[in-house]
Amino acid sequence: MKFGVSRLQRQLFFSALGLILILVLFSLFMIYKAAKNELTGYLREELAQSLPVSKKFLQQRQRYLLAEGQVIANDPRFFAAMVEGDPATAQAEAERFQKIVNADLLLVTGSQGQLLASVMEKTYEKIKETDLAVLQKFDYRDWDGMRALTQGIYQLVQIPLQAAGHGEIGHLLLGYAIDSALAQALKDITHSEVCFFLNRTPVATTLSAAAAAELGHLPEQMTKMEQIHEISLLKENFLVLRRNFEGDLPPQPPIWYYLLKSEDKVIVPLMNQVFRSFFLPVLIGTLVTILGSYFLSMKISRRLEKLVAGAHQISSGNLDFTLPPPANDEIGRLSEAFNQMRISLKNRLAELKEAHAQAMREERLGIVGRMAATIIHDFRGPMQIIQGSAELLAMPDENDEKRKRHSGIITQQVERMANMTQELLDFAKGETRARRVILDIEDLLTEINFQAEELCRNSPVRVDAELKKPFQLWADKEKILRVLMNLIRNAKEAMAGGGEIRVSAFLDTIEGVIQVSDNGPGLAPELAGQLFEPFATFGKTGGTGLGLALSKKIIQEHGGTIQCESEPGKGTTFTIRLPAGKLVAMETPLHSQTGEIII
Amino acid sequence: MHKPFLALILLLVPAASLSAGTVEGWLPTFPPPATLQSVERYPTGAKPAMPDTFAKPPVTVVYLVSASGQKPENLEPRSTHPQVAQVNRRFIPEVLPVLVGTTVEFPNFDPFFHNAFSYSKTKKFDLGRYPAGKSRSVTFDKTGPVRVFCEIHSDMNCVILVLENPYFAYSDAEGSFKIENVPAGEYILKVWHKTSEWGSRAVKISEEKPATVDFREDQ
Repeated sequence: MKFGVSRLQRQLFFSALGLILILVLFSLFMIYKAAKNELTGYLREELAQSLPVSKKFLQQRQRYLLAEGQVIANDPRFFAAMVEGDPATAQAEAERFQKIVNADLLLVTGSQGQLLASVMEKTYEKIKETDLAVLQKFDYRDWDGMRALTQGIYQLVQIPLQAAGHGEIGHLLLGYAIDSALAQALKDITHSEVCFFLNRTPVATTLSAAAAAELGHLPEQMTKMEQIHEISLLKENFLVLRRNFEGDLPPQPPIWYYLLKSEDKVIVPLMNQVFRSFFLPVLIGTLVTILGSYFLSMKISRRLEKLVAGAHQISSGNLDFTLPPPANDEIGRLSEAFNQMRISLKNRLAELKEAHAQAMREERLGIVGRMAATIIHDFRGPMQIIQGSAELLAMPDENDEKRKRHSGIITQQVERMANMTQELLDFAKGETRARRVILDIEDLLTEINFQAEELCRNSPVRVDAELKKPFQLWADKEKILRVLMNLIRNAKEAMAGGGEIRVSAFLDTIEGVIQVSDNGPGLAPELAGQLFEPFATFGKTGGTGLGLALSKKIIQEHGGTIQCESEPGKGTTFTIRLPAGKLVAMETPLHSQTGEIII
Repeated sequence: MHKPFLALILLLVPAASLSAGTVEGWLPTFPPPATLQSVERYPTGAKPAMPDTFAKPPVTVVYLVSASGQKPENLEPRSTHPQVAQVNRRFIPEVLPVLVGTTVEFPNFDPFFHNAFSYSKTKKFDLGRYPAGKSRSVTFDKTGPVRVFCEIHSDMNCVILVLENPYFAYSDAEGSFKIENVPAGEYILKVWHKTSEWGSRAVKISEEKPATVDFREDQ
């Protein structure tokens, strides 16, 4: 992914995304659950309401039946036929009225309970003896008048047959069969599935035959009276409520009345609708928002990354780095400000460089001025000596020996002046080019020893050299020699009354250490700090004051250090430490060179 | 008050036979029938003429049935037709004894339609619906009670007692009755109060002295 976004950023982003998604899904799940519970609650309430509604419906039906029955019972022809007519007339009249009121069962019993006429609409059968016995025991005050007969369940009313002057001559029983039409009617008003059972046999139902059969086989405790249970019929979830119509008539087979509400048919489509109209938009919206913010932040961080790259370029010195043209927003303004900052930085830096160069020039001029004064001062001595010697040389009375001496003095003084001039030149050049070679410390010490003894031949100073542990250096031999000879010369000059100079070298782990020590008067502690500053002569005659400054510069060029330890009255030790060893990778701070393995 | 009916009955009674006896007796007093409420659907409308005697009709009939099952011979019903009037949504009288073969008229004195029908085994008939002032008649040719209803008004019913002999009478308001010119013999005396049989008793009638039956003792 070339988004310029760090891995951490991405991880944070995706974990945040995951977390938000989980939270959203969780809250949606909770909402779903709560909604489902609420819906089930409503469904339960509705189912509980269905029972009184269906009760009322059945009562109303019974009242209607009763009204019809009363019309029949009060009809003079019907009454006349029953009270006086022959069986054929009675039966004919019963059939006639059955057709008028369209009842499923019409039965007339005499005052002794004997059957006067009977019509069974649905079956066209004669009523059976057992059914007659059931009906004779029927009490018209029954709440809902449900009776189980051989042919099925009937809702019945009983009306006494009486007329003025005749008394009660018997009873009229009028009934509607409990059939699927009734079940459908009950379903229409209660919006619940309806099922009538005789024992465990479905008699009338709005359920499918298979579902009704399964309902009949449910264990009893699953469907306690007038309590709502959750059951499953043919893998469909239902809330079910059951009541018994004939709980108080034990010899009769029980008539069960089931009211069912399909949770799946109501809740599932509703939840689907809720999901489509609410959950889905929320989910999609969340996803779009998260992804949108992710890509937006990607874009922002890419643009910020360019700013960061620009800052890196600037910090590494590239002030010509140009940021892309700014857009008209916060980041655009930032990059614009960044560009302005870069331009002003560039200008300031140019000014600073200019000022620095100016200062450098001025300083150098100052140094040259001071140098000129020193040279003039220092050159006065040797020049006076040379002048004197030359005058003496010119005298005619001088013998050859004296002339030779004067000539030697002149040579010596010129040499001294030449040295001073060289030092000045070296310093004024500002830099020394090292011509490095593999340098054996042994060779170096031999050379030093030779030169030092030469230097001290006519003086009371003794020189000794010692190599404690050999090593090799990658160094400019001439320059190192000059440094060491400078130190030796200083020591010799400090010990006018005689003394000993000791040069020793050893390998300290990876550093080559060269020490130059004397047993002279030592340095005053206040001088030790300025020892390596240019033009610090400390009252020494015949020096430029540049020797130690130059030495330090050379050693630093070689990647080493130079230190001075001095104790007044006991002597001074200069310690030079240089990178050394059997394996030296040569890399100097100023001049990067390819490394070389030295064996 | 009962004169028209008594006269009617007397007309029906054949000439006294030589060996004729009498039976007389008393019935308990029945609660008086509810006074008739005039039914006037259209108070200003014309009302058919209605005999005043319908105000308090007789309600109890006493008659004799031969215990031996003998039937009198050559008894012919009178040419005058007894009436069961339809008045104030009632059949009046509620019980009418007639000799077999008699034609009974059912005049409508109410200002609306009436009907008279019967599903009785004795005589099935249906006179249809007919308006105020009109009358229909039925001849009863078999013996037995015939319950008559109006198909329009369920409360209306009456009984025509078609009898094998003319030995019957209404009891008067006090409950006493008397049947004369009855051939000596053994009979069963039956009582119908309104539309149902109320009671019966065996009675032996001789020429010497009238037989008496007192139903009041039963109470």
